[in-house]
Amino acid sequence: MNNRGSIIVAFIFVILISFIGISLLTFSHTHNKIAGARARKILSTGKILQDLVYYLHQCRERIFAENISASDQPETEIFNSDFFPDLNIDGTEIGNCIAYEETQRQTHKKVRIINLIEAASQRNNYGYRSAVNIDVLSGEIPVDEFPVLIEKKIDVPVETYLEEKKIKNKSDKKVVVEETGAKIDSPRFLSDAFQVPLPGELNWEVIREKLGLETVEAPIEDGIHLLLVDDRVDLIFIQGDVERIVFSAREDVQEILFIKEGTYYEISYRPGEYFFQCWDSGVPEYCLFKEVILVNGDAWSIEQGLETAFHGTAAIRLFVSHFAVITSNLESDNFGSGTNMVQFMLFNGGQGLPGHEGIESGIVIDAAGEETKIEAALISKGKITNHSDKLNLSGSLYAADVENLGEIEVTHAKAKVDMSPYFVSGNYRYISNFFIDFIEEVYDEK
Amino acid sequence: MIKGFSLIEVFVTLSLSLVILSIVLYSVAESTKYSKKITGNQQVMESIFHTIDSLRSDLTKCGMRLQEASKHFDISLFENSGSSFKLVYGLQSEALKAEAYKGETTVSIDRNDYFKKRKTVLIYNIENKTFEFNEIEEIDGDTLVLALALQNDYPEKSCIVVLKRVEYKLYDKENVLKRKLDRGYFQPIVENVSDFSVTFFPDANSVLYRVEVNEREQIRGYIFLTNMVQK
Repeated sequence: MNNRGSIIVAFIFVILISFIGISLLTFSHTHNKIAGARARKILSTGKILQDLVYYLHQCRERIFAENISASDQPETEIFNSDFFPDLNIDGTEIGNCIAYEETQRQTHKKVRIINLIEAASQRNNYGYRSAVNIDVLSGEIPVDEFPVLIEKKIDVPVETYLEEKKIKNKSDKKVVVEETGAKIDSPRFLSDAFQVPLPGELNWEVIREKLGLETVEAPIEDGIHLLLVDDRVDLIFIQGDVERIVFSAREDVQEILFIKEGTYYEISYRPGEYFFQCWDSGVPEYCLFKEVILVNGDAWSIEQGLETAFHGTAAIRLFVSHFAVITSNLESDNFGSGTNMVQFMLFNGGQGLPGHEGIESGIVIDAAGEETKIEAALISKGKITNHSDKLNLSGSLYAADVENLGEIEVTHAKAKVDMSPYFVSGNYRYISNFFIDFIEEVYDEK
Repeated sequence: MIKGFSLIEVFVTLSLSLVILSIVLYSVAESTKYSKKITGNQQVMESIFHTIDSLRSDLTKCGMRLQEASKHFDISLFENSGSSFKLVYGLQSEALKAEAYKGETTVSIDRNDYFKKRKTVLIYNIENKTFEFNEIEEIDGDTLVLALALQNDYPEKSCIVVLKRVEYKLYDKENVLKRKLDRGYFQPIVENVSDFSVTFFPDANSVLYRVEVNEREQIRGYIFLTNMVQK
């Protein structure tokens, strides 16, 4: 009897322990299966991603190593299925699907090469997908598309030249130093600014007529004039040298102060709006200023008045026919917020105004302090000379030559106003953009 | 007399039964406790794994399909502050099939399943240097009806990207890490979180994250944001 009782108790005990053990083991088994599946997925997808990123990296290296300017149609002659071959990298199959999108611009065309790349494992269903976009510009390319374009023939590689000149390119675009046959069409820019149909028709008589002065074929006297058309101020024309041009962004207005022969001339306006206050009380306040300033002479000091020079919505084009000297920082109050485009374009030199053939011109940066920050597109038909210890230029630089007595660091940003057809390269091919639009797992949540 | 048990036999039997029952009950209680502990730990680990997988997946996508736009326009792709962060990426992009003018509220695209009602979209054109955010109010075939009138003109082939915004936030009082998608509510993703931090390294396009649960289990990781390589 005692023996039978012990067996029953032991049996109950074994059942209870087994039940607990089995449930524990079952849960652990499920957990282990989940953990195992996760580990396998991480390993597999990690390998595919690694192979894909390596392939993309190789693509990038090869794209930027290509000399596309030698090809008439680089988009199809170079960037085709031979350039992007289908591969098998250690069990990861990589397939390419290439498409082209062409956009015709005023003086050039942009072809976007879109390569949809799929990377899949041969061993399982995991995969990644990516899209590489390459923008190739062909034709007469606006000079602000290049971080630095120096229209000059050199005997050394560009990298060596930049090192010698102490120019650092902080953008992913290539610096171009060669004779592209660039067109710095100041005459056309000036005739369009004066609204004269043909550049050859721009003479003193026409300028006088436009500015409301006596129409005789003689240069106008030194001074500052406004070209008023209906309720617009199309441009400000400064005849002769100007000592200082001071830009200041103050709350919702842009201020510009001109100091010429000791006299102060100040304007303030709201960019893009009908609000314009001028030293000349005869000019109505309800005017739209088109933000074009022409200096027929030298501008000895272009500077920033307040903490920032340019209002967030401004797009100022300053043309200086002789020498333009920048003597301080020139910064916008919202560069890098909104659009990453520069709001100040300084054009310098070139023919266009009557009596200007063969006059020497150039842009000089001569600001005090250790570091000078300029946000602008600097375009000079002559030479750009930097005297600052360190010049941080956000924007672009075009010149026939550069003389650098300090360091120049260029971070590329396009100009807010279209440069074509006035300031463009010769017939050229250029990779303006390379980016990986996305890298994603193929079967992912929507 | 022969059939019955003596008083001593009954006492001994009952005592032995009591001892055996006590041992059994103790063993069962210990086993249950141990079982609960193991399953609890495993559940915590699974929820941490799930959290990390979601977090890494979202971080990897950050900036996806917004490379070009973020290069030219000021679009914040990643923001973090202490124990929370938010990111944005593009689910799908399409080109406009026809020009869209300022003041209009419709755009035409080749419709796909990603463009849904109430989704936020980014419309931009690099050449015209214009961009804006909007929201899909209605869908009529290939025409998207937008909630707001366009603020700029957009030529044909301008880009429209349907966006996804993801936000993670640690609720300190509840010790719960929650995740929010677009305009939805914050949904709990893991409980008993004693610490959560995310640090962004913009120069390296990388994020260092740390999740600690029950002041014990910790997972740290460093992830390279592959979809933000360009900037």
